[in-house]
Parts: sequence; C-alpha cells; structure tokens
Amino acid sequence: MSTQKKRNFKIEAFKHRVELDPKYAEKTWKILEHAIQEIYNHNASGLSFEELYRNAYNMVLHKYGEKLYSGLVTTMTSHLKNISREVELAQGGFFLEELNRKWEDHRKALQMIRDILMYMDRTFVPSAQKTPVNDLGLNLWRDNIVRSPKIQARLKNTLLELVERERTGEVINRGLMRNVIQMLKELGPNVYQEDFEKPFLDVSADFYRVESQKFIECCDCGEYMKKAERRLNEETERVSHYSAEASGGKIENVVEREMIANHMQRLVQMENSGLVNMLVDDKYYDLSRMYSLFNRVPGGLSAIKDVMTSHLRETGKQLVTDPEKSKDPVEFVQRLLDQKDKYDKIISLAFSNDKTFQNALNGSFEYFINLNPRSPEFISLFVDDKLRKGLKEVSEEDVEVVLDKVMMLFRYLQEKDVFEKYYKQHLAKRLLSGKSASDEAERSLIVKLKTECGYQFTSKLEGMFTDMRTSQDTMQGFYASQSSEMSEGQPSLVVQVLTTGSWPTQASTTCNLPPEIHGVCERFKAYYLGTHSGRRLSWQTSMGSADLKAVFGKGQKHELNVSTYQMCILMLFNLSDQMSYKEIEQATAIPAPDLKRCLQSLACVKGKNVLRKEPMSKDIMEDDDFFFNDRFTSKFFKVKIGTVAAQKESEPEKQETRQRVEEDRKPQIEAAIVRIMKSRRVLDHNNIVTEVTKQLQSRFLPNPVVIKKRIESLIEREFLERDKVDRKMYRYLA
Amino acid sequence: MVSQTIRNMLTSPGGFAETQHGEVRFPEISTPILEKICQYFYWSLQFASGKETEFHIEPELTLELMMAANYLHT
Repeated sequence: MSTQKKRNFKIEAFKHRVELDPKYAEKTWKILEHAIQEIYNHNASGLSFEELYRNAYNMVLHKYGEKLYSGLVTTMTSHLKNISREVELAQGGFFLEELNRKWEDHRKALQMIRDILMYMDRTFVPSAQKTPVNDLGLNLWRDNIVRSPKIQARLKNTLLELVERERTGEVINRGLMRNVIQMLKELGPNVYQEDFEKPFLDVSADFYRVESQKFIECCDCGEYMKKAERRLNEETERVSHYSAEASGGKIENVVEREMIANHMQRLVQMENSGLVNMLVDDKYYDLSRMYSLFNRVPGGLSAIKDVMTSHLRETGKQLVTDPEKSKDPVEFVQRLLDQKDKYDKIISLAFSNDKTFQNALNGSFEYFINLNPRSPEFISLFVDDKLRKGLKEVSEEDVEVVLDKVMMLFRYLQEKDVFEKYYKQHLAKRLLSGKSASDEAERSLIVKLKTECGYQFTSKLEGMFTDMRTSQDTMQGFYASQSSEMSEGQPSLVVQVLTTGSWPTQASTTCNLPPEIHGVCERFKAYYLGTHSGRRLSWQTSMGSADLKAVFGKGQKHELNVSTYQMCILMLFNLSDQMSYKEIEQATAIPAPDLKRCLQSLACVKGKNVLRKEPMSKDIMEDDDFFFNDRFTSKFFKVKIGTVAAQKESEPEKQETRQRVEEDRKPQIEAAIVRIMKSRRVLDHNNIVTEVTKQLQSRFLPNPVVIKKRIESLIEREFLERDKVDRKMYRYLA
Repeated sequence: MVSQTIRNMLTSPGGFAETQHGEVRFPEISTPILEKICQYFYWSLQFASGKETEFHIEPELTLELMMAANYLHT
C-alpha cells in the first residue's frame, strides 16, 4: 500500500489584463442593434449572419454579455411598443388580423434574433440566470401587446363576440380565431387561461343558462334533450377547431351543468313528455339520449333511476294488487313477464345495460311481486298451464326461454317455500293425470330450480319423478306375473306407487271401489307386498283417473275419461238406472264435497251430461235423484269429463295451504336458530333474528314474531336459556 | 449537421446574406484549421454511420481547434 501524493494542477488567470478598445463594445452593439432593427423591418437580406454571430460571440466572450442582453431587451421593448400602437389603431374587424400579422412577424424576427444571439443563449443566459431569448421575446410580447391596457380588454371582447356570433349561427373566420388562440397558448398556460379560457367559460355559462331557460319553457323533454345534445357536440367541435382542446372538458362541463344538471329534475318529471312517458311509450332513442347526457353529470343517472324505480313500483303495484287483473293467474304472470321484457329491452337498448339500472329493476320487481301474497301460487299455475298444453308446438329453445323467464320471476319471490308447495301440488296432478306435455321441459325446470335453490329444494320433486319411473317397472312386473290369471274383460289397472313424503300430503280419504276394480287392486297389493317387504300401501283414490266404455240409448259407444270417484259413481249405474244422492253417497263413501263436485261435472255440464238429475238445477242438493242419461250424444268417441284440473285455490283452501306452509316453516326456523346458536354460543335477540333471516332468505322471509316464538319454544325444550344477567342474551345449551 | 452555428446560418428564416448566396465566410478561422474542421465534419458523418476510426489531431492545432469548435458549436 502506497500513499499516493495528490498533485494539484492549477490554471491561473493572466497576470495582466487583456486590453481592449473601450469603444469596442459600444461599436459592436451598434452593429447588432442596427441588425435587429433591420430584421424587424424585413431587411435581413443585406446582413451577414456570420458577422452578426461573430460580433455577439465576441461581446459575450469579452464579458459584455450583460450589455448585450439589456440592449436586446430595450431594443425589443421599444419595437413592441411601436407595434402595440399600430395594433391599437387597427379598426374593427381588422384588429385581430393586424394582431395576428404582427404576431407572425414578431415570431419570425424573434427566431432570427435568437439564432444570431445563440452563443449568448448558450453560455451567458444560463450562467447569469436570465430568461432565454425566445422566452424573453414572448414575455415582452405578452406584457407590451396582449396585456397592454388598450389591447387586453379589446382582444378578450373581440374573441368572445366572435364565439357568440358563431353560436347564433354566423360564419366566422375560424382560422384567424385559431391562430390568435394559438398565440395565447404559446404565451403560456397562464395567459391562455386568464385572457381567454376563464372569460370564455363564464360567458358560455351565461349564454347557456339563458338558452336552457328558453328551451325548457317551450320544448318537451325529448326535444330539449336533442337540443342539449346538439349544443354539446357543437362546443366540442368548436374547441377542436379553435385548437383549444385543453378547454374541451371544461366547456363541456359548463354546458352539462347549465343545460342538464340545473334542469335535471324538471326534465325527468316533465309532464306528458318526461321520463315516465318515454318509458311508457318505449322511446328508446330519447331514453338513450337522456342516459348518455345524464351520465355526464353527477347524480344524473340516479335521478333517472329514482324516477324509473318509483314509476315501476307504482305500475307494478297496480298490476299486482288490482283484483280484476289477478283473476286469471296465467294472464297475471304473463303481464308481469311482459313488463319485465319491456324494461329489459329499455335497459339493454337505451341504458347500455347499466348494472345499477338492472339492480333497480330487480329491486322493484321484488318489491311489488311480493305485495301480492298469491304471487307464488300464480307463478306455479302459470308454469302448470305452460307445461300442460302451452309448450306443445314450440321448439325446445323457446321452452327454455319461457322457463328462464319464470325462473327470473321465481328469483324475485320472497316466499319460495310457498311456491314449492304449490309447485309440488301442481306437478303431482300433472304427473298423475298424465297431462304433462313434455318430460324434457319438466326436468329442465327442476334442474333450474336446483341450481337456484340447491339440492334440498328439489329433492322431493325429483323423488316424484323417480316414483313415476319405478311405478312403470312395477306395473310391467305385475302384469308379467299375472298374465296367466288375467282374463278377458277384466279392467286393467295402472298403479303409481308414490313415496309418502315426496308427494303433497293429502288426507287419505278412501272410497268404496266397485268390486271389479277392488279385486284387481287386491291382487296388485298382494303382488307388491310380496316383492317389497315391510311396506304399506294405501289407495289415494282422490287422485286417480279411469277410462270407461259405455253404450248409450241408441247403441252408440263412447269412451269416457273420468276421475276415480266419477268412475265409482258411474259403475253404480250398471246395476240400476236411477239412484238418489243418499244412495250414491252410501254406496261409494266419497266425502261429500268431492261427491258433489263429481256429480256436478257428470250431470250439469252441457255436452258431457252422462247423468240426468232431477230436479234440473245448477247445484247438487242432498235430496236430488240421478238417472242414467239415455239420450246422451257427443260428436267425439272419447269424452273427457271434467277432471280436477289445477285451478286457483278457493279462499279456504288458500288458508289451509298457508297454514301448512307456516307449519312447515317452524322446524326450518328452529333448525336455523339451533345452527346459529351452536356456532355462536351466546347471542342477543336482534342478532339471532337477523342471522336467521339471512339464512332462510333463499327460501322465505321469516316473520320476526314467529322467530321469537320459536326461540321461546326452544327455551322451553331446553335447547337455549336466557342469560341470567342480561335478559336479552340467549345461551346455547349443548 | 454537425455544427449548430453553420446550420443556423443557412436555415434561419428571413433570408440572411448567407442563405441567399449559399456561402459562408469565416474571416477569423485560419485555413489549416478550417481544413481540419472540414475533415472532422466528414469523419464525424462516417462515424455516425457506423465507421469507427480514429480522428487524428496534431497537438499544435489543438488550442485553435477547440476555440473554433466553441465558436461553431460543434
């Protein structure tokens, strides 16, 4: 390691001053000053660049930079003062042109001056921290011309007047306008903003305030929107022509504020042409225009959304609660679907599929669908109607579309379990009476329900389908085993073995089957219990149907398609032609309301009256007599006697279903409470209620009072206890 | 162009004498130096286009060349 000795080199200044001609600087500057004047006078051709450059170079080199610089400032300033006077003298319309021409001259001269003084710009200016020549020239121009007291205001007013004239439809010299604005921009953002942009925006605001007031008084909403849109486009185009893009957003804001934001509520609520009318009349173009315009201002979309929502709720509420309209469930649901389609279309066509609007739509539907407690039933009836007959001629895709729409309505339901209940009933009827039009469609809907609500929701529905399939197999097995014993003329039996629990429970009301049938039934029972041990069979005669062959007075044969009950009644008339109500009741043991309904459909429906009743009247009385109607005629070989079709429930039935649903909910609520308490251990009342509501939301909306009752019941059964100190707290007892 | 100054002389707007005649005189630069400068311009062009050779400068010319370079902004 060796320490290196530092050797310092030092360059020393000359010991003696370099003497220079003291007049030198003065002389050189004169030459340059003269040159600058010549340049301004467009007389540069006689000048030698090299000479001027060399002079300036030498001046700076000999430390006369300061003199050169200040000389330049004074010369240029006095020149600009002259120019300023010339510009001031320009009359009227020539003012801008004169200004523009002088500006062009100045810029050119400035560039030449900068070029010959380049050496100063390069060395003296940065070291002395002066403004570079080019910027100096612009600053001087700004201070002496643009901001000179006589020009500043005049320039501003001239520009604004031109804008105003163009707005009212006159043609102006846009090129000149652009050049002048370009000049302001070159003088720095500060100049541009203060001398043009700010007053321009202020004046525009005033202009549009007045104009929008005028428009809104005399135009309808659609018309106004068109005008506002046109103005907005005009302004955007204007600033691009003026090459003032920097102000584009600002001027748009001004127009938006004055023309839209300030009149938003009034526009939306305008009578006879506002948003509501646009929605009602499906004015997609107007709506889409309104959406794009309102989208520009804060709170604009929510104004549209609010009005749309309240309108939707209002009309929806009318739709749902009008007792006239809810008479026909199918039409009721169809109307809901139409409404939904209409708004879906509006949102997709006019509101660019805005998510918040979709949410608002969904929210509104959810709100009013649940206003009618019968919505779940009606939706199920709608599906029933479609699956029974409606979908026969349409293609598979269309079926899917209809089902998807139904699912959408289903999603809005709060009481999904009520829907499930009805759906199960209707499905059972469809399956048992073989009325389902398409197995495919049925299954597809089940799958949809499954994806929507989970396995639990549909397991029973799927069980019903499984039962139908296994029943077919069972029947085949039955007939195979009985083939030897079956004799001609015996009635053939089709049994569907249904799993208890999967199917809607119905009080098992049996009736006395005719002996012919009874024998076959017994044989089936023996066969079935023989193959499946440990099972119990009970006959659900209320759900069956039968085909009867009957011969009437003139020997014409008909096949009658009737329910099991009706079959039992008709079989009695094989033995005698006349029977009283009491006799029938005794013989068949059909429950009275069902019996009356059956008799009514057998005797009182025109064209299907295979029985004759005495006395003739609409209603069945307990002392009526019934006769076999010999004179029955029908065009058809097969006669279908009104079976129990799915229909709107009557009031008491509705009450009953309601009660059953409430009953079914109890264990679900309890299960939810226990689940929650098991994980939380201790929780206060309000929290339990919210948690339970959250858990059960996908199925129904539990009533807080009911939840409270369930909690009390659980306390009684010692699943929970109240906290000893805080009575509001509950404790889980494991 | 390699020299900023010469470029400005020939391109500055307004038409100085140099631009009009297409001729620039340098009364303060001596012939050998100007010759060297021209050689340098030529070399510099070739260097820029990828031909990397050495540019030889005689030591006695160095000072004057540096002054000229400053003047010409090269």
